[in-house]
Amino acid sequence: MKKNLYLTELESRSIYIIREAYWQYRGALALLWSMGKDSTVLVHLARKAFLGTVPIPVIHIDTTFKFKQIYDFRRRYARKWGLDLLIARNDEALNKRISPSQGRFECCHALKTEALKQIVEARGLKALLVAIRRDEHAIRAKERCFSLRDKEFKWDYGNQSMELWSEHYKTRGNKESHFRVHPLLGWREIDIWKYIKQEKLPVVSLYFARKGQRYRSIGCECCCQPVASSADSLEKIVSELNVTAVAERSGRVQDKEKAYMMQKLRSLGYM
Amino acid sequence: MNKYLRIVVTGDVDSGKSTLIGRLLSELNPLSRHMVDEVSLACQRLGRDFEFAYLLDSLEEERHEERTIDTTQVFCKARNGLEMVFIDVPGHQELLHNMLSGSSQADAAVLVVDAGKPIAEQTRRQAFILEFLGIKSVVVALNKMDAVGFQEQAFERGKAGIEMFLKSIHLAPGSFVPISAKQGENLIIPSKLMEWYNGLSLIEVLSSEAFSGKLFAAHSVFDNAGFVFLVQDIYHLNKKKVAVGPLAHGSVVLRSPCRVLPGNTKNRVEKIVALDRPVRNASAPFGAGLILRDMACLKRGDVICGCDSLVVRREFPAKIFCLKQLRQDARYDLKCGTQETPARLSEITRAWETSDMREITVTRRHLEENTLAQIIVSTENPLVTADSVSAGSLGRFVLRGQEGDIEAVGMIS
Repeated sequence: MKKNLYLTELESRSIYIIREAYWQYRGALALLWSMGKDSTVLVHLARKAFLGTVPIPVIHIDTTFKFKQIYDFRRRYARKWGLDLLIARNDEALNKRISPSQGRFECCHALKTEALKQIVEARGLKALLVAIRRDEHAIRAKERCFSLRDKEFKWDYGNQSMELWSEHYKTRGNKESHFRVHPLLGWREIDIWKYIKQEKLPVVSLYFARKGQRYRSIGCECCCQPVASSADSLEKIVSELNVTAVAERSGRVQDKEKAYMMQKLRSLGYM
Repeated sequence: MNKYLRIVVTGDVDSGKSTLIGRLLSELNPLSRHMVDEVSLACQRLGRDFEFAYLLDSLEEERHEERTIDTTQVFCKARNGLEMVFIDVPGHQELLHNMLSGSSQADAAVLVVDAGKPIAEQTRRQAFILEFLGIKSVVVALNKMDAVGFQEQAFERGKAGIEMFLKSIHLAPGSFVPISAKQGENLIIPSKLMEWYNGLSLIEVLSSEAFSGKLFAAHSVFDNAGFVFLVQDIYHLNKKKVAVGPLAHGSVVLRSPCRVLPGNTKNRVEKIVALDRPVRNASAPFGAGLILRDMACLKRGDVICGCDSLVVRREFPAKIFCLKQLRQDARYDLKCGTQETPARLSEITRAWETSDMREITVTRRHLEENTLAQIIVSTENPLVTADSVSAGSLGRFVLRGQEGDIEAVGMIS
């Protein structure tokens, strides 16, 4: 198949960013993998960037509420790709039986942000590769490729550093901060799917329609709703995305519980 | 190949940039109900009518203060299939660094001007920045035509003013389009309220062959035979060293002779690696791995090339835009492509105040914030450069201060 030049350009920009992060933070860099389509593309890009292997730990933030298919996918491809998989789980919160019924904001914060905080501290990580994209959410659209978080994980969105062209990023922070590195920021949902098709990447089966429904975005089983769809193949997903008026994260309840929920979650360190 | 055009929408505070992009977004794309609901609800809470700008101004503070704080990007598709990325940037002067971040990503620009007002200082500065960054494809949108009764005279008056100014800085816009972002006039289809205007609507201009076709046809200064590869890092594959980095220009073929700059040593491409497999050739843009015959001294910052268009030097003329005060006795960290070297301003030749392009007499040994200057840069280590703006990353650089923040942006002249 002839390669799509637009995808090649996106790919090479992403690989450049991944390598910049590795150059700066060799032993203190990790990749967040949720087994979703975007972070699976990110793992693939890392394999390309590092010539076939992933020399950095790959972290799954495990709330324990994920779909079964996600856990199966994790087991299979962590082995196949030889990933150094780390599971980040906030056991203390889980022992207190925290769940979405006590409030989704609190649940997301404790099981995702806090779990991440714990592993970042324990491992002394200084930079994390995260697969967020601008077109997912208007708040994520404000992000930078290299985005600083302070000791408390706070995102100072009113005061972000300059990024010029596709080559100059501020990659150095202070001692207690860490960087969220976003190599996929400029990709759209449809680019992700076209790339998955081009590169023949595996994805969790929940993305494909069954009985007239499929998931556009996957995460915790309790907080994800499927959308009506008949797209049961990569081709059909791409054509569906060309015409749909349904937002990618429309099935994700944590974005919508309160006004500016995503901004508030993110300003506290959520992805 | 999928065509796509990155367009920065720039202009003064309150000229209606975010409203314009919000409108375009909602008219060109199937807008998700989720987004519309979220914006409607936020507007209701603030007791306002539906604000198209809120589709972009997503931060709570941006909506309360009614101003864009940070740059953002949205994707649209024109009816002729052209894919566009609109980059929204803040108009406030203190947010100029965000404006630069956004503009540097663009191929083209829409300069939004309030049709009923004289040219603002910030409009001039932003036009300068476009010219400085080498963005030549510019359309001027004279906005808020609804506030001047959609009158031709108002448009002509506004157009004459801005045209004269742009001419003085050698920026020749492709078109001047009268619009009302608020009411959606002349954005997608020609407006019925301005029948005196015979030109194209804003989107028609942007997606026209005359405007965007030129950009896609633009070719690099490097000849087709050569290639330029920037060494970003050295990795190991099966205990062999591999140089990785972006192939910035051209195509590299197995066994082709090359030189490594700045040392100017002769070498040869022994292997090209993609993922973990060897390939026979690779073309830009491609994040490849190269194994040369002699890998011993290769390091980050080196440039592997198979062309004669690059120059190695320790001193060169450049135009810089200062984001902070720059001092001649200070040392800066210069970054150009993947090269880094300490550098200083050895000479300040000329300087201009960017709000009105007034030339400043250079007497003191420093440059104020927001000044544009013609300088001579001298670097401690030899730098591989190209002497043309269209040369991409080797034709431009940044100067960083001690904190690692970018203090000036430079274009090699």
